[in-house]
Amino acid sequence: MVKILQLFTNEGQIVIALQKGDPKAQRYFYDKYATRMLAVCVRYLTDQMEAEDVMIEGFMKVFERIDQFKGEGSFEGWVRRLITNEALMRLRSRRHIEVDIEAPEVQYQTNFDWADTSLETDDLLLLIGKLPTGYRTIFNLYAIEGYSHAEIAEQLGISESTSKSQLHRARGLLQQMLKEMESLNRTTEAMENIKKQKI
Amino acid sequence: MKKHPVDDLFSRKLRDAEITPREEAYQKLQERMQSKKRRLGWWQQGPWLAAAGVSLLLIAGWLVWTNTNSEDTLTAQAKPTIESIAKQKSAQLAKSNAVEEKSTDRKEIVNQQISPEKQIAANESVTTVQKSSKIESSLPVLKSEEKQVAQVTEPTKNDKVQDVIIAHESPKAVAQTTITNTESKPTEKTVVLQLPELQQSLLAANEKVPVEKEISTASVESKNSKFDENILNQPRKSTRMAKVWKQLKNAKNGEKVDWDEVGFNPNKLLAKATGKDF
Repeated sequence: MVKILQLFTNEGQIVIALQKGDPKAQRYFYDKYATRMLAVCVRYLTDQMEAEDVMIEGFMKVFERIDQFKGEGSFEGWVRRLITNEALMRLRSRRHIEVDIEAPEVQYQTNFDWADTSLETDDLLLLIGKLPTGYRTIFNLYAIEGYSHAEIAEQLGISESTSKSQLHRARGLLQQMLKEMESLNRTTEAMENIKKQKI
Repeated sequence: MKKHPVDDLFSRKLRDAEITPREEAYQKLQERMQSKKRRLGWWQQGPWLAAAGVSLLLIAGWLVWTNTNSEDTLTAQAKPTIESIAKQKSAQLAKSNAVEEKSTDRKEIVNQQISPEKQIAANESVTTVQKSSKIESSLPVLKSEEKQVAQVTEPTKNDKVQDVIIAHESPKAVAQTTITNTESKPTEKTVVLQLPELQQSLLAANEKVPVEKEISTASVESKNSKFDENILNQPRKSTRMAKVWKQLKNAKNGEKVDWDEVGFNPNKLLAKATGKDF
């Protein structure tokens, strides 16, 4: 492992080695990016086994198309786009993306302070996983990947206004769930504190 | 534009989130890559497949072309006009017979208009001309024959007024032929073999001359009949390869090559072109 790390000190070297089909470089690349890319897949697909499968397919795409990477923009950004596309393809193939218009409207609490939230990554993933697929996909693409509504509309074959309204509803749902979870966490924390005090 | 607080929270916490895949995941990836490589079969070897396809097409095309062409050449060769032969001065082995016929035509013209005393001499000279052209047709040195044929054929194009001059020129031709005869001793054998046949055709031509004044048409007919006889007398029983092999052997031994048997005739195109010029 140490030897492999010494071989590839920067991104350019990895890319060149991957373009030559070097198996060591592929292993290094996998070790470096697999955890992050699996998290991306889980955000879209929620099921970890399926996400892992999609991640593997995505890595194969990366190795196949490595020649297409011209060094414009960050390498990780390029890889992330490929993985995201793979996840979207999987969703599309299973007809997972349907636009949920009937979902309830939620009132925003604009003054809510999210900065000191005790919620951790796993909790947030769980919340995202509870969103309907359409909401989740658009929220992921817009809020986390940073796609524009135009890009999302093109990717998913929907109109920009649909993308905007879906994002709006997704935010509302997440806010509601965050609030509930936060309070739940606080009560469980309080409960545990009480238990400790009793002992 | 300020980011929405919900967006901001999730993007901060989840953008670089990490989930460790199972150990088997990498093995799975490797297996799938291997199977994908194996799936690249022979049909995906683009350039090689293309090359194979092109060569197959070429071979098939050649086979079809030679088959149809061999039939065409048979009928085409039975038809060549006397004009086309007159123009064809390049000494080709397959056409040597036709050239001889031409020279007999010239002789016929001479015979018609020259006095009886001279006729014998002219006859003799022509036969020697025949001889020489025959000899040289089997010679690899073609230049001398070209000259000879030129001397023989040129007068026929001229008017009948010049026929007397031709008669005078013929002794020169005899002189030249004697020289070439001495030069071409190694090929004497073939000459001897072909002579009797030649004289027969000469006699036949001579017999026809007094009857018909349109000499050219008469000679065409005689030649046509000769070709027809050739075709009829040689039933095509042997296989194509055997025929080609036989002609190859002939060529190797310096004997006459029958292009009909080979399946194509290098003179065919030339004959067509000159035929149009007239």
